[in-house]
Amino acid sequence: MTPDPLSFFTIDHGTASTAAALIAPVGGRFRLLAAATAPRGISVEAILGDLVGRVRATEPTLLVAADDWPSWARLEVATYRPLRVVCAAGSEDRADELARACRVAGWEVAARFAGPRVDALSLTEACLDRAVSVVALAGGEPPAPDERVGIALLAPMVAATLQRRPDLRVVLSGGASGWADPFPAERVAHAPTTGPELRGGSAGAARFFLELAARWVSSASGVQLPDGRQAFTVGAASLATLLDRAVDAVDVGHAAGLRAVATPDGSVEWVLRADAALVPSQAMTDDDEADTILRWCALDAEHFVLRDRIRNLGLAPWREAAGDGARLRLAALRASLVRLSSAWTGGHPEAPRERRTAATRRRLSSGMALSGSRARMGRSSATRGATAVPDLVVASGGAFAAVPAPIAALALLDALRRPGARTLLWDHARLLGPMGTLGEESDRRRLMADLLDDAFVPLASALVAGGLHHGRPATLRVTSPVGSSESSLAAGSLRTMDLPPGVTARVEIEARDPVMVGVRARHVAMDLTGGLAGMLVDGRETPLRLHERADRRRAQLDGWERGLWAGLEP
Amino acid sequence: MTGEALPAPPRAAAPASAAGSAPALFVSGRTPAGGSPLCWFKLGPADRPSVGVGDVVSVGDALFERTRDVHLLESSRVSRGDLTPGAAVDPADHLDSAAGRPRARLSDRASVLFRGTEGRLRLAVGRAADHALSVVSGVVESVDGRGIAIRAEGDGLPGAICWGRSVRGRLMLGVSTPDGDLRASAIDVAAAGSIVVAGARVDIEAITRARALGVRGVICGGLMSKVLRQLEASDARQRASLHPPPPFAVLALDGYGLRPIPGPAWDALSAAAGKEVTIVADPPLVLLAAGPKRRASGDLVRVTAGRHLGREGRLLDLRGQLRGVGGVYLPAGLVSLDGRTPSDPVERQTIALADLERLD
Repeated sequence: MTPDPLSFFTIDHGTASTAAALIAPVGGRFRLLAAATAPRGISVEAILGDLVGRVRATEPTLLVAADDWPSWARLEVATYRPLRVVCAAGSEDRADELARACRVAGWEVAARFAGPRVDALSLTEACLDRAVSVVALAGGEPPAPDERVGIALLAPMVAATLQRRPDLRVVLSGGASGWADPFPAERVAHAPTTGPELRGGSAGAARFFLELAARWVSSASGVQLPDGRQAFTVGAASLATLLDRAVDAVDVGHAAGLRAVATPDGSVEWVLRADAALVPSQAMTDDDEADTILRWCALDAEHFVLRDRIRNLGLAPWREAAGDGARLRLAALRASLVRLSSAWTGGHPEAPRERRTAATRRRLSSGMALSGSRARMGRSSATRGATAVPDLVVASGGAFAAVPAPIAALALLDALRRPGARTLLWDHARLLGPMGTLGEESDRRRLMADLLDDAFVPLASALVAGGLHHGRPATLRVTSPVGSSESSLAAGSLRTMDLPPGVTARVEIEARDPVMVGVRARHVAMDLTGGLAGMLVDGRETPLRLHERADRRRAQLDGWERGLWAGLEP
Repeated sequence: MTGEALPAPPRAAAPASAAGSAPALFVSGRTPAGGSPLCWFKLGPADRPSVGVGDVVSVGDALFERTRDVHLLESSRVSRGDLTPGAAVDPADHLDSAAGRPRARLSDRASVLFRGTEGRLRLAVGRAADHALSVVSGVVESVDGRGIAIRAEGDGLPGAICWGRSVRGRLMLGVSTPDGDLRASAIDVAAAGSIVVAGARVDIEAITRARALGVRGVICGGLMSKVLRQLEASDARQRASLHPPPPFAVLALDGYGLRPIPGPAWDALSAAAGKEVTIVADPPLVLLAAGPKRRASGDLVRVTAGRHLGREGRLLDLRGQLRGVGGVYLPAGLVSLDGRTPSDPVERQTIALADLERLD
């Protein structure tokens, strides 16, 4: 009998690409031995066989019973295209809340109706659209008097559309559950009352919609795989707990964009938006939406040609990943992350994160070396100022699969803007989702602890300084084993500094006016660890303001990108 | 962690080993022409289907009665309960001519939208316009609020973008090569009633002229979104006129912009030249008479992006990671590309696998 090799695969079945990884015990701990991402449609068995073949070719003795790889365990997740929903509610406010909860859960809102004055013809036409698969009807708990009138009018309209479409389902939220009589019970789901929340959590209407969509999609397709988005939020929470720090995880794909912010206590908030996909469906037909992406593009070409190319990116996102295609991809990625950020904050700029207690600050002030030493930073820098603690941003998803590391770092920095220091990591093998499917928190943490250095590639450390004034630059001092430097940090500037992965630098900012770097002070010091793109020091404003004139905007974007693209003529 | 076993995830059934298999396995395949596609024909709220589930329909058979100027009216009396949503009713039975109440004409068509809580029916009422005729032959699989679904006879050649309504006509090659460009001046009255194959792209002048001359549809490799917008604006103007324009469709097989017609599609269209074909709008495809499929070996690929766009060849081997312009690393393969003309020599190129598609 062959001993159990303990080797296993992780597979993330995306809507446009499949990511697979081979993990096996080496030297007493699990290691990520090989990973690959391929366009969806390519045989998963071919990808897995190739992973095994690559490892055997490199180190033939590393895998035990490698010929048995088809029977090795698999941690699999799958993501799906967003459901399209028609939202109806008894009042305008409730309809807004319902539409927001649906959007937060990654659903596409095809139309929105608020009673009692509803155009029945429009509602019927919207519900009969073949692309729509759900109608949601919401009311308060209990419904207000005006809502009661509205729901009483809407319920028979919606019920009539269900009679005309055998595949249509209905969600009754909150007080609308009291009007369930006209609906076939097997096609009804009862959801919690919607609220004003911008984000999803571990409970509430948005969470319900997220879980419901995964359940319906898997029952319709017959593929019983865990939902990749839910698993991703679980994985982010485990990572935050393991590292004892806040984790800001983003996953941008072909069908949707997901952002999950987890705290060390294991709680997680998330937003899943269909319109934060790399190329959202609206951009395929709406020129204004396509132009929103092209605002972030530094390419100088005919506008209509660029629109076509953006739409081709939506049709086949894996194509043309180099050259001009890479720059278009960057534009789409930036626009997607900006939409995600805007959805997170409700359209407002992101606020600086609240600093933690002094004890937590001391514990975390060792920089972001994931497995490095935890030497406590001296208090000398705090005598005249403060110690800033870097945040952790993890990027994942198919949209990052074919983007160079410095460019991915720039996209994150441009879109998720917040004064402060952060370390940008890339979940290159898309492991966070599959690891999130493990049932026990302790198992997740054990596996993550083993794979931390393999699974998360350090893209860069970034320092965003807010509050700089034009003509009054701050002084930036960087001390690392690579060397020491002193330079000025001007408002509006973006600089890249060499700092290899794993090397920690002491960074100090000294200014005449207080600068905002997570903390507001005239003198700030912190330890930052390098990445593939080194260290990015950013004195640009928050949020970024792009020039209105296209030629100036292109020059502005080109100025930021220049130096980050390798071998690409601007 | 010391190599302790994690809780076992579900194990897959043992599949065949793929290690050491053909390089073309790592290239995504182009969706081939599929037999008997399911074609959808949308129904408006007051449209009346003329077919039922299981009916066999032929080209030219009435599918449904189309209505226009549809509006909502409330029945003037409480009606009995056996009328279900979507059921056709006689407007005269439900609509009185009470003062202030909008009236329906005797020739109007009405169908039940829903029954209000007080028992009165709400009706979608519209003017009977014409009968929509089937452009495909096949068996009706479903008739409901979504529309009529017909399992059509023939092979469906999938497209990427379709504008307009489903149309049928004789197929006519307007260009001699799949990367050709159809000029407006090349379209004449001989093309009336036909579906014209336009090559790599088609401009708005050619489409406008084709439409004016009675061409039913245009098939091309790529379509500029600028042309789509102009076409939409032109159509909105025509719809506003007294006489609605005849159905017309444009189908792009490969995407937006300048894109040659893929080789297998070009072969299939060339073989169908002179025969009746259908452009189906939902899903976007060209329906051709069923015929022998092009037999391609597993390593035949087509370049879908970059300077070799549209060229076909054979994937000889995998070449590891290719460092693309901009610092992007992509899995690549060595491809033996056929010449653009038969006299051109075969050319070997290393191309990213993501920029290839398998033709089998």
